[in-house]
Amino acid sequence: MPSAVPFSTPALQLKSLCKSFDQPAVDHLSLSVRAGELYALLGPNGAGKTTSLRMVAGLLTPDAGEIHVCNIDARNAPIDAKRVMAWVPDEPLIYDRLSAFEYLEFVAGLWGIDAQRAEARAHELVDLLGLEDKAHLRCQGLSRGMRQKVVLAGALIHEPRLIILDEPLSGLDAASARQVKQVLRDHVARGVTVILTTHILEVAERMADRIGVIADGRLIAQGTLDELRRQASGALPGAGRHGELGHGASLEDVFLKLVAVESQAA
Amino acid sequence: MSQATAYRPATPGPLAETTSTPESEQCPISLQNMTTTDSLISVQTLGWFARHELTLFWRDWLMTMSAGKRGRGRAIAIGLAIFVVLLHALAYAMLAPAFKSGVGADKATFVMISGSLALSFFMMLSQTLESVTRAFYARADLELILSSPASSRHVFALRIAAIVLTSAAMAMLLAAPFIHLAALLDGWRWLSAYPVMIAMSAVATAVSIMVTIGLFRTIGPKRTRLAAQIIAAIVGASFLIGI
Repeated sequence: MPSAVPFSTPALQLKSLCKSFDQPAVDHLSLSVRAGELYALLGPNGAGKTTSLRMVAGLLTPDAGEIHVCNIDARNAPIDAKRVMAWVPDEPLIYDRLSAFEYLEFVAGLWGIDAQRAEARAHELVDLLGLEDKAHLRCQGLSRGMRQKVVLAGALIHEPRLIILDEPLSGLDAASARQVKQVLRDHVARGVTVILTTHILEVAERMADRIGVIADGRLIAQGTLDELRRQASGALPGAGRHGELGHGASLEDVFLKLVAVESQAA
Repeated sequence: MSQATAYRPATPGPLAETTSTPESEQCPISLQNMTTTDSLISVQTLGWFARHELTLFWRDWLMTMSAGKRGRGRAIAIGLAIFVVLLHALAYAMLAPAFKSGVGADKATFVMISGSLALSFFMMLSQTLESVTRAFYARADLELILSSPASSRHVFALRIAAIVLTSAAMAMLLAAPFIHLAALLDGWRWLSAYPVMIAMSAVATAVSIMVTIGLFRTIGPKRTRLAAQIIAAIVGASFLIGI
């Protein structure tokens, strides 16, 4: 019997993660994302969200720190970590000269999925994302929304345990965005962990189980929306008092408050 | 889906039964059978990746030749056939008199063959510089591939091999009629020019990789492609002037 990892095991754990280019982009970032939750990582432009996630995806080498993906040390066993996750960048690649099915076949091949299983899964995902009519057409003729859905199907084809999406809803029309959100929710309901970055705060507010706010490469707040409200209001011990936010304050209010406090402190 | 691989993922699907532990208490992941050493893409599946690369190359080429218009396949085939026949005729016109008067291992022959090889090499160098830069730094699919468990070493090795072959193929397109006619008029040993061209292409690719990595380390990734394109253009221009 395969050994199972307790549900309480974090799907992603970062410890003191650091990365500098000309200046520090990620500065001792530590965070923990529980298995089976939808986690939104928010932050202003240049806060280090994408850099952090690219390190998790194995595309950048950290200067220091630890990355654990479902209990796998991703720095020491990157291949094992990559097997269980999927990375969808903000401007994902799609081969114009391949059809959606051919693209899915290729991605399945990269993850070493056997042909029969990949085909069944591709049909399932194409149906799920409403791509039936377009699945055999070359991707060059697809709209941005369609292409985004094809990429999402590619990310799901190997049934990852952790899906990381960088701005997954940017440029999508309302219908496509709703479909993508539903697919992500369904996967979370089935125990998959989803981490996404977004500038659309309403999306994070409505979808995320927990939210992390990052600024200057550091995690400045984390929790449910209520917890963030309390942190922003300075209600949590040690948080300081920077002005009250009402109980019904939106994530936008909370986010702006947290970032403003952080920039003042810096 | 046509490619079958023997690998079955170590992790079960989201609905797969893993243990008798209640589902709510599990992180739905199995660590059994996970190795920490090797990647999924093995030598066996390199063929699969090569097929993918060839498909992309072929479709790109067709698209370029047809200017994006459908139904031009026949016209392209006919155009290519005429081009090949004309090149063979040209090669015959140039080589027949030479072979008739007898080709020996003399200085003139050596200079002519060496010159042709040098010109071919510069053409290959020009092409491989651009291709290597693109394959290493600019291809948009690198992010997808490098975030997968596929072995990046194998992927790059295959892409380098593809560059060697495509560069050799481009040079052969021009050289093949001359090689064929030489083989027809003076013996099959001239066919050895084919492996020589592949070897030259391999050397040109190796030089291009060294130049590209050197550029990357000295002037950084952003300027590498531009610099490589300029070098390739200069080398290509030298080839044309040489002709």
